[in-house]
Amino acid sequence: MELDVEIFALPKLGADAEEYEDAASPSGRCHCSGSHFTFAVADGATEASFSGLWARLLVEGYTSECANASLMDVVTRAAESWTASVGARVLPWYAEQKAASGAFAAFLGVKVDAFVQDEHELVSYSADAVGDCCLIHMRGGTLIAAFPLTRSEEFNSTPSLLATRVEPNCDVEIHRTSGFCNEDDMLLLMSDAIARWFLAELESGGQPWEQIRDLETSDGVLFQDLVCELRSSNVLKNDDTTLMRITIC
Amino acid sequence: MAYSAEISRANPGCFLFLIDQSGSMSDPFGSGGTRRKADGLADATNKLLQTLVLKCAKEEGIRDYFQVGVLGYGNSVGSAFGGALAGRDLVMVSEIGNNPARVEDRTREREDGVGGILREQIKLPVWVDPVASGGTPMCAAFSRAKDILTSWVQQNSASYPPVVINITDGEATDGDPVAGAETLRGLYTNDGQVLLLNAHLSSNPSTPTIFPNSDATLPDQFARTLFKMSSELTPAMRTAAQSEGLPASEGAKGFVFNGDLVSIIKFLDIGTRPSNLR
Repeated sequence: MELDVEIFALPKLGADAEEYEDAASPSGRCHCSGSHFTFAVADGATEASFSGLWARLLVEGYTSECANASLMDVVTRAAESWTASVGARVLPWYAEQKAASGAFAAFLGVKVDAFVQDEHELVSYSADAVGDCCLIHMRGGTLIAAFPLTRSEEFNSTPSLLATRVEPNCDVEIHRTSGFCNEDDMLLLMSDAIARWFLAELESGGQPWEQIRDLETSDGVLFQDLVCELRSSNVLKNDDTTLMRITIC
Repeated sequence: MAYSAEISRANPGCFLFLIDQSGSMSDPFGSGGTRRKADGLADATNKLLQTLVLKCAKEEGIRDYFQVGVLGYGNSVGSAFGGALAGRDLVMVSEIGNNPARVEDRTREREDGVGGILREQIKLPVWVDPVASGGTPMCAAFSRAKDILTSWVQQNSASYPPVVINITDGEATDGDPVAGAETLRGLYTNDGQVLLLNAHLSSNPSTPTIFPNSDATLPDQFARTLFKMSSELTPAMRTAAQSEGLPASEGAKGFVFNGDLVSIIKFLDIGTRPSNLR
């Protein structure tokens, strides 16, 4: 199995690059060859502190753990790292109190496996999600799956998210899905703003997959240009925006 | 659509607190209580300021999503800030966070979940001290608020409109405040009119009330007047209130009787707020 993986990311307008609170793993473009891969995107919550750190620890933990580690095992280990990192800092009263509430992030992790059945190579995927980072599975112009949210109106600014503290995670529901891919299928891992736009475009009869497929190719535009245009048209929320485009080769 | 402007550092919001510092605030809460209303009001105001600061706090510091003022009214009308902010009207929320008059160490008790009590040391920032002296010049306070916010809405016409939170024991001594409240609510940005919310701290031991949509159950004329002066909650505020289990039906107003308004600050959207953050 071979995969083309590209990551596109742009901070919220008006925010500095170091304030970016989304995270993706892998963090850069790659062409992969093998039988098992993991990918993850996370979106740290604005109304918590050290959320970017939490998002990074989650995606890095998920993609570096062994294949059969559960998501909550990943969360537990990432939370220990977060607590050790934040606890080592001397903070003013407000940062200390804010950090005591913990950090929160939406999370999407996808495992892609290739296996042989009846002399044919099949590609399957399974995904875990908490919150509003989304997986979109496109086959040409056909939407095969949208997960965990399936409609643009399902997005809001108060999703249930993965926390560094144990207590809030008791309220969290981990959504799971799985499916099979064909050659040339696209798996799109998205943070909420661009996922919401993508689904809204589909609902209104648009063809957003074409813009995503052609991004930063000779037929397409730069990700930054697309996002800026959509933001200025008020069809994309001004938010940190992350897209991972995986093409099955 | 009104009340939908993004609250950001480029387009900050504005909170203006009006706090009753009249002599009657030395009376106790409810019947038979010993805690003075002035002490409760100072605690409530400091809690509101702390909540605002924490809402905007990030690892690198405090993001200036809001400008904030606290006007006291009693012997006179003016800034109620103590410490380095004394005498100032509207200041950035980062200045609030970095300049409490003092930070007190207090012990807080909470249940440990297995039948015991945990005692925690907490830091309590203080910006406003209790004051109880003079009359209740609420009309003058509304007039001063109008002056401050008239220039604010002109300079920030694209912003979410200012939220004014008036905390009082109810009885103005310088006239009927209804007209002044109406004038204040008449100020607007391109995103909507000023929101005026009232919190009534009463000696009346009636059941606390939050976000009512009628004055039928309010216990006295003062409460009914404050209800009348209050803005209706925005649809987004009502949705947020309902998701927190608070009653906020159609027509619900930004009025609480012997309750607190901390939840209002949570309801303003500055980005993703986890539903499981408590």
